[in-house]
Amino acid sequence: MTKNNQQKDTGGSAPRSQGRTHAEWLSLIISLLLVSGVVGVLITLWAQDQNRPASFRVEKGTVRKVGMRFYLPFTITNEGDVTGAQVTVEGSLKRDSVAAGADEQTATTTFDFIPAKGSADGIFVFSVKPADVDVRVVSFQPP
Amino acid sequence: MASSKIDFPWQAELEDIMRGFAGAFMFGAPFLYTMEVWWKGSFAEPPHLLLTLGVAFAALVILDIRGGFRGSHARTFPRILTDSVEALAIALLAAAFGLFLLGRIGPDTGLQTLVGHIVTEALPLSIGVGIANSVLHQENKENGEGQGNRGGGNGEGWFSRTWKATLADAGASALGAVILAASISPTDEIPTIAAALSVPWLLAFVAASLLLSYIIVFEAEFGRQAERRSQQGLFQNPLSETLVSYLISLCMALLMLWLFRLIRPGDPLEQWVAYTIVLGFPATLGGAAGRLAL
Repeated sequence: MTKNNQQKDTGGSAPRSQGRTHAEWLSLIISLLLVSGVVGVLITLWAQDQNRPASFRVEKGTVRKVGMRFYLPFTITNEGDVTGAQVTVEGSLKRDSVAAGADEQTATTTFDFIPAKGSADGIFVFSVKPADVDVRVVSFQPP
Repeated sequence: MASSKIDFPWQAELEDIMRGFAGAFMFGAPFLYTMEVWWKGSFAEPPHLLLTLGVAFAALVILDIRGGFRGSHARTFPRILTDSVEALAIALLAAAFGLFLLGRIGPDTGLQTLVGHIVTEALPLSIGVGIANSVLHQENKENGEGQGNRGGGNGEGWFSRTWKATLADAGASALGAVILAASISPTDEIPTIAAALSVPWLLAFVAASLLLSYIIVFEAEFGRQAERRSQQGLFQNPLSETLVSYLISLCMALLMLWLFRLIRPGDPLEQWVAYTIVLGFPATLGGAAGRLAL
């Protein structure tokens, strides 16, 4: 680019001062660190990506009573390298823990997406105290 | 601008960066409020995200040749490249801030999901950074040229001119707010976002809306600020303009939500307040853009 071209204003704004100020250097350094950090993380994730299919681990929380119902919170984590879609989780009371005459033994909920290495929280609601409950993923779809 | 850059380099740099952020949110707000974009970020693979970053950078290089986010334009190719890196960093930070505010990312978000969400949202936001200066920046006019056009004719009294200017600004705010809020209000994103927000988080929404509105019109040197400050009307004080335009934007957001039946009489007050504040964020960005376009 010639000197004349460099001095030509390109869009009606005031000309940029020659050279870079300390403030501009600082913002450039921070920007370079940020962008290169993001690129570095992506390359690392790419290198570690073993393309394992979605697989899920469910951790049950502590039951709490709300009115006449029992709330069982849980956290589901996708330990695979691929997102799971429409992940349906079912909580079922084991036969021994269901009181005689109780008709509610299962509860289900569905998560739209659980990304790779991501987790999501859910709550099952039972009408009897879930002393012994089996929580498992019953179905999901590839994204 | 050039003299201010030489005399106050830190202030000039801060204004450039704020202009970039303002452009990112003004252009990118509809994308931040689109759950399909969130989902794309959830299952995008690292190579695809690297390509997305590359496309965003290439777009910023092209845009920076004539626009960019700085008050003065880049001249040399190395300068265009470094300005584009800074613009990309601004877009990434804006995307991270926006997604955090909307509750889409947080401390418990997995690393790949976090980076996926941010990079995917950064693509449209980077376009906003790239066009921030060329679309919205106009040179300040030294003598308040154009004052008569918006403040009324010289033959009119002060009271009449003041009210005309105030109504013109209020109308522009309302119009801009409706344009941006109307496309977002019928979607499921508003209930989805609002459902996950606590009261302190709603207050953070209010603070972010006010701050961005203030930055857009008064701190980012968008538009004709010298001209605006010399005009008459209740909108010409920075704080009163920001507050009044926010209230107008909230009213427009409320109207849109009611028209699209997302809120109805009988719904809980919490729902009315939460939905209105969540939609008020993009609405106030539209309102600020509307006043600048006036």
